[in-house]
Amino acid sequence: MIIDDSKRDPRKFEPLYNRYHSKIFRVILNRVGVKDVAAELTSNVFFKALNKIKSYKHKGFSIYTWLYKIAVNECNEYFRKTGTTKYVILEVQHLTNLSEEIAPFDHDVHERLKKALTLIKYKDLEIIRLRFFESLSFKEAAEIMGISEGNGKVRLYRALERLKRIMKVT
Amino acid sequence: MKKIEILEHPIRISEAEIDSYKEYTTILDRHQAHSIKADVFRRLWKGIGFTILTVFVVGRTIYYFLPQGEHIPQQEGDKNVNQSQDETPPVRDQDPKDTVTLSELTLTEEEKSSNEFRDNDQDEDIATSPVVVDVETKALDNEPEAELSQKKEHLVSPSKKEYIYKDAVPKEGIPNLYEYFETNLKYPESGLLDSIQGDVIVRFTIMKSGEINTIFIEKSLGDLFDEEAVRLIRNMPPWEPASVNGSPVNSRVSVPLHFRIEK
Repeated sequence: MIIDDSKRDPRKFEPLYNRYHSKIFRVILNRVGVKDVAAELTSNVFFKALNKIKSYKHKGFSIYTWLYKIAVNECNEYFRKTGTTKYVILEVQHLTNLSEEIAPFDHDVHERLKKALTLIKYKDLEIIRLRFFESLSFKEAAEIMGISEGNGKVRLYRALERLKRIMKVT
Repeated sequence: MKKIEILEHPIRISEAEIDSYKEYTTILDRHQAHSIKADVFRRLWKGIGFTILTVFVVGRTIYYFLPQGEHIPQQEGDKNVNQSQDETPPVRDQDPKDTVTLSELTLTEEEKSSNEFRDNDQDEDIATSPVVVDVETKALDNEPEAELSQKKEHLVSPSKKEYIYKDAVPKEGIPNLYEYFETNLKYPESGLLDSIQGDVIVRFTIMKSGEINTIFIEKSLGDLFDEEAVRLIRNMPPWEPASVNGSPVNSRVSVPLHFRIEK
């Protein structure tokens, strides 16, 4: 309802902005690591969302997924332009989830896993992050990455294989 | 150099601080400015598109309608002549003088045979009609056959020379070369990180003397793989150079080298 209204009148977009601003801000902050940059990029995300809201089509996801996708793209563009450090938040629970998937019987895996995560391709890291650290469904993760669900599964499987291989080497 | 940093905790920031970054009115202003700009551009492109279309349509109209009255009948006449010429056998070294005299002859023959039935306008038609051309070609066909065949041979096959080309081959045979590649190719260890697999295609020149020269990577897998491929090519067994009629010549050869991770 709000989306339909926003398509006609951009001022009606404000409730969505208020609802998701904080969430999107945190998503971006956890990637870029600098508050002011996160604020700037969040502003860009909502500006782009407002420009594109007319072409928004409901695909069975919350509009948050759509905003999230714009935010990820905005971050990637920022990294491409500036070449600055990319941050990954890796809490103990995340590490446990991932290590159970990769090496369930290895108790000394966390440190090697951390190191390996800094060595893999950013594309691989992104799918691992969406699936394991941000606990999104395959469908949502694939939508955010702009690929099909099947392709998302394949990409995650390959990313994990590469991660395992790097862990063996390091 | 990759720049990825792992943090064990999310960056701390309060909701109030995040709210302080809220600026919906600014975003709305930006959006409105953007909409106006986009609208101007859209209109501009529409205008340019419309102008181009108009110019195109007007141009085509002028092209089709103005010269039509004079041009089309001439084209039809030309077509008739061309068609009749297509039916005649090709003669390349035709002397224009011959053509003139023959057409004159035919005209006079035609005039003789049917002068009573034709007025001046019809004569003009005959001059450009297919019949005349047929007569011309028949007249040419009456030339001695030996002369014509000589002419044709001269035109079609000016000179024939046979060249026998032999490809460059490894002196010890192709199976031995592949065995050499298999035993000596080393997978660069650093490639394991990115699990790179695939083919490097190397092109090189085998000189007249049989030595390898100008090694060029046609398809690369990365610097380390390329270096390994070049090393392998430099040290490979000797080659027999290519030859033309028995005399050696330089030749190019492309070889795919397969880099696979052994499991």
